[in-house]
Amino acid sequence: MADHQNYIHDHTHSNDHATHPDLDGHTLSDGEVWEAALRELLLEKGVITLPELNDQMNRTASQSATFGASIIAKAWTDQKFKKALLANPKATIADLGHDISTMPDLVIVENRVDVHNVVVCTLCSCYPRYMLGPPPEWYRSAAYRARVVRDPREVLIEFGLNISAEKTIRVYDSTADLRYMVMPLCPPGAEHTPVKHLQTIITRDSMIGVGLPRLP
Amino acid sequence: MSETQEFTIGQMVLVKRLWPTNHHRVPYYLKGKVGQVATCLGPVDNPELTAYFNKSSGQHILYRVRFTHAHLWGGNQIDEIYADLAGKWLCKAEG
Repeated sequence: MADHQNYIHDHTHSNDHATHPDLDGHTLSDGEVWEAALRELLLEKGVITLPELNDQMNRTASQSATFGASIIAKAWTDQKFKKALLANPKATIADLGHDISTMPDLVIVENRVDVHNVVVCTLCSCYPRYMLGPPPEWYRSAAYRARVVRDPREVLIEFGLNISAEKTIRVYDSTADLRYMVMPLCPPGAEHTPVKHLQTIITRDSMIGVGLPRLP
Repeated sequence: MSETQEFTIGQMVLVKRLWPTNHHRVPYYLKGKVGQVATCLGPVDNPELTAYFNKSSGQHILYRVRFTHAHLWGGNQIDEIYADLAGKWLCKAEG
């Protein structure tokens, strides 16, 4: 509680009515100062406008793993689509009518009965946001990035996933400008479930590779 | 100047042990390690240049390289790590 009071000591308004929760009670890091300086310069010089900035922030915040799940669910139920998707993900998704032309290139790696795939970016935190939404905090953490390449089995156990010793764990370290995501295996018995039900069991974590689709 | 494809699928390659201070996309844990070319991903913009807004010197060839967990960490024989590495960072592995 003492800490909490320290955070708000220089605010005159009630903490219950924070007008800008991103900045309240928080000392800016160097990175945040640089970001603010760059953003204000871009706005002042008219390189971008405030509505453009807000639109982009809204678009980014609206992305979610639901989209990725809908694509995987379709692939589970449509072999022709699945084959095209694995061979050429961006073009195949664009063919469904989604405009993803400005997005980074995408690779979808398919789990097999003998191979379990996991995605990481050890150098930074590359992530297919347009498929999976904003990355979870742990995905960007130094601990996940360092440990999942070094000791993937133990890390997956911490996520509740015990991969059999006979199965290969294949870690994709996305070191280049390609974004990776996992196509999990369709759970046995779920093949004939309608797509809209299937997509609800395809979790974000299962498309990063630290989880499996959850049957209801 | 663009590179041409230098390595073939299945070939064993050594990741160069270089420590430049400029931006590059080779994690330390792979430097000096031997892997196998899994796929040639073709020419892409070279991030070592584009990071400095320089697109004038062409593209480089990107390879997806497979490393075994056993080789990298002395762990089990079946787990593996794939990373996408530029041809200029690779050389033929001896033997």
